[in-house]
Amino acid sequence: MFSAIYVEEPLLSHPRVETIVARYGHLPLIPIERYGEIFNRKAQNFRLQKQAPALIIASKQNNLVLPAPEQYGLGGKHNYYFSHLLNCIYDCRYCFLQGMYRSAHYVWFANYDDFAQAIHDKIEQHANESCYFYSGYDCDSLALEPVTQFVDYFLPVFSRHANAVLELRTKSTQIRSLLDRTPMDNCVIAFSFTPENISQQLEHKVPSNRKRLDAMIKLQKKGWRVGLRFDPLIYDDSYYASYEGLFNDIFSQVDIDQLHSVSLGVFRLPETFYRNMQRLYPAEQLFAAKIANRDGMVSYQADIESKLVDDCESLLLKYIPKSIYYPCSME
Amino acid sequence: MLNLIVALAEEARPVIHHYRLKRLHHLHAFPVYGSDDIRLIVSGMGNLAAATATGYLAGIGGVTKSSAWLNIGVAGSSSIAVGEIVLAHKVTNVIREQHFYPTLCFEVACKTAAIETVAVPQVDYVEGVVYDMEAAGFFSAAMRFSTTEMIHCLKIISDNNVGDVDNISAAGVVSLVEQRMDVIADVVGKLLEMINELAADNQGEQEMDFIRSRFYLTVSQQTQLNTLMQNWFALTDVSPLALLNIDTLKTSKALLHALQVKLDELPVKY
Ligand code: SF4
Repeated sequence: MFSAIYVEEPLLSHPRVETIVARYGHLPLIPIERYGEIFNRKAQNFRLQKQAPALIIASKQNNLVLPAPEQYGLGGKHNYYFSHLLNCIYDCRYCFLQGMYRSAHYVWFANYDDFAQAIHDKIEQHANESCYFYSGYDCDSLALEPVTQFVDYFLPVFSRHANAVLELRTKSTQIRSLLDRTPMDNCVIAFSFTPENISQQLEHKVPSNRKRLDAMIKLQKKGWRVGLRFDPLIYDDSYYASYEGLFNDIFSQVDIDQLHSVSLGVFRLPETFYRNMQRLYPAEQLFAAKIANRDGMVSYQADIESKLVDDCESLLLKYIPKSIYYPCSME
Repeated sequence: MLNLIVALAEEARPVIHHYRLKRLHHLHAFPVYGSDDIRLIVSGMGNLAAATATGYLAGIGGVTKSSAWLNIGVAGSSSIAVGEIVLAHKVTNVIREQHFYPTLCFEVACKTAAIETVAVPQVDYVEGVVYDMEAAGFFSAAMRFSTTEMIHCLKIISDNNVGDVDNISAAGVVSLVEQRMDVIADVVGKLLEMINELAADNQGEQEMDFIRSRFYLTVSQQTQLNTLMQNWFALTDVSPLALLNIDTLKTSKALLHALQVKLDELPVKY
């Protein structure tokens, strides 16, 4: 799973870290001073690294909880994100992490107590208001769960704060730790989907739509609140039929009345990320077809984009009430 | 191109023999040997020599972003058996207190180790450390030309006791390298695979050459053409020259416009 394990020296005796180091005892263990010695340095190639990333175990010192990007919100007034992990075991060709970082190594921040304190401080700031915390911005929230034990640590943190909602965003089927717990009203597990033909071409190493849907249904049956994220919407010449099929497949199986939220957003990237990604994968159709640059954001040509969004929105609203629908705007 | 940097002629000999490399007699500053996809330079001992030889190979041409670099040589260690071979996972320039981290993105049939590059042969080994005299100089120079996934150091342990370092014969060095040619060949093979993977992305070179020979393009039109050509081959394997009626296009502007129009007509299918 990893090519090597780098550990910041002060963490070598941390119990959570010792367990992982022992589990991967056959791998090179390389003590380092700070994770920045390895991660995101110059002269690194994300694409080559992605073939065998290393696990870097570090402690995050500053900016543990940050305001969430505009398009991330689900209607709440106070939106934050925090990242216990940078990068992802999956390899979606549209993933902005490839454009943002030079390294594909996974950085796992093991100082959970500091994150919990920072989350607590933010919640205190909004004592009588609800606030949202997103954990899947720089990673997939659950995919590396067997290593990070994220759920086991952070769900109890949020169980003490009813006014704070935690969103776990995932394409993974690592749901055992959730199924073993009592469902919480203030935790949403949001699953992302693209149509199967697109998923197979662009979402490398990701569990199939069938497996993801099964995981989602299991959680819903257990009483967990689940959400759906159709983000990014991907264009191809038969997108209408593909999305019609995808929506039909999903909404005929999930309990729509129990859905927490559904959001939809078109493929879009900051120009610098797009350029980095196209440099990594020059032969990738996604970066070549019907693309336009508008004010530093790269997306589909305007006519294609609005048709894609309008059509998918109309298809979607045949199944779900507007009250749980959250479009992700580019503005 | 895979570039091998080796300090001593004795370390180089088994590698030259294995890959049937030929001496490139027109190059005089260092002994350089080559084949179609591999070059080997005998740098001489020490950090400076290794860095200079690395720069020299880059300077004589044939180096692109997809080139790889491998330093092969003998080293000392008190805790690893003589004859064992290790791949560096960390390289330290002891004098400058600089660290380099080769990115290990392939599996190898040997252990990995931290290497400390020292200025003079060590006689007093610290437990767990591998000592050499070239890796850091080599690594810092190679990082100017390629990314850390493409730069590696393989070291064969030649001595591990105080005083041993003076007793290594030239024939002994040849024999140590010969015995580890299997691992060297494995790493060379992996690096060549990575080079080919990166080089496979350069489609459209022929078309670009043809277009450049027929049209005058400004610098910004060249960039535009690069992008259009890259996007074209991301969508189809059919050459755009087969679909454009080049003879009817009188100017470079008309050519770029026609290419864009045809590009937008290509099907998008997943
Ligand atoms: S699952 Fe999400 S975080 Fe992981 S590669 Fe795909 S888009 Fe990126």
